[in-house]
Amino acid sequence: MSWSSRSLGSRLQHTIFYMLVRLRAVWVARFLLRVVVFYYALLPSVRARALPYVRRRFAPSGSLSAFGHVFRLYLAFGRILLERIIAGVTGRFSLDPAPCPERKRFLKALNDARGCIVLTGHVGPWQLGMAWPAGAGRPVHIVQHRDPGDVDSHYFEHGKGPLVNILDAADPGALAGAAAALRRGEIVCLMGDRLLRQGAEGEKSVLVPFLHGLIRLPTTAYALASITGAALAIVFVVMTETGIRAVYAECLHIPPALPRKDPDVFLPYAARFAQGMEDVTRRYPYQFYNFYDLWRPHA
Amino acid sequence: MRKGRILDTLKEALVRDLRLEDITPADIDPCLPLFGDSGLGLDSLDAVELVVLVEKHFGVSIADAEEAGAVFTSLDVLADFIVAKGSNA
Repeated sequence: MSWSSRSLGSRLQHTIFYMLVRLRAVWVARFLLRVVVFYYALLPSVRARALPYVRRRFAPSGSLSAFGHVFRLYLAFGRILLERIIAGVTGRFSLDPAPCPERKRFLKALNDARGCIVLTGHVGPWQLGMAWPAGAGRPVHIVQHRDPGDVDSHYFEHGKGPLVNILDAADPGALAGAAAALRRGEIVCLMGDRLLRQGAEGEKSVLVPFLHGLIRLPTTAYALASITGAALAIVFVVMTETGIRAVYAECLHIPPALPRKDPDVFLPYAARFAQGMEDVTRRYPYQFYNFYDLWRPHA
Repeated sequence: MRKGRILDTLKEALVRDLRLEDITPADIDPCLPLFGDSGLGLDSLDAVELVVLVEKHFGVSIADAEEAGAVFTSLDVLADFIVAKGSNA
């Protein structure tokens, strides 16, 4: 079982939620979400996708306990997708007003380098979190992969909110485009927790510790930073009661011209990413959204 | 800068900066595709190196992914692009 960006719900289900938000019946959407999530959590194939993480993070004592964690995990995920719809339709989303030292660290890294790579993972409202660097006053580019059957629209695809440029990861020129943007001092967002291609022709990767096991993480972002001289900020955002909040930001300076054909030169940086992601899952256990077995050998 | 000299510089930089193995600048056919098994076999991170290399050696910037896709087809096409952009190197 490897990862896919294909949506779990059907296009019709998504349309219903969009319709409810457009009709300002958000409370109905929130109620309907609980029903839909409960239904999906009953399906063994859907539960199986969440169980590798649930078992490692919560060590549930039995199947009922596991079901409870799976339900809460999918419900939290559903809420974040709903917030994304609300942000997309209304152009509004709430940033947590609490002081955020992580943001200061990020802005410092941005100002110290020609460009900045924002490396994040499928944690919290990661897509809304892409708006986080947009306030820094530089153009933002997002490298993203999309499977056929992924019917979710990102909030920025509704024409509302901050303007971002999408670089299709399947496009062979995407990384070159990202490099060009970085050399102009702009911001490029990448996901650091999933391999875009696997196997012999796949993306270079390393094995790092994460939640009592080893997972394989891509090294592309670190190589991109090493080649272009850009700063690299590991950023994780979560949804709190008062809005989106960055809860982890670590700025790495990757030495230039590392021998990138050996992925192990990037092992310390990938390990920092995994450590940061683990810190966040310990504090916000229901905001980790990789629904496949990351720990599967050679995954 | 004339196209022939640009091609020579590109070939040398390609072998040196991209650490291409078992190949010398003289071996490189400028009309070969840069990517894929039928050509030089460069990968997407090599393309990133090319962006930096072209800027460093010729002072020419690649605008975006679309332009990179268009000019990173072969060294010949890339050299034409650098000539058209009026390299200041």
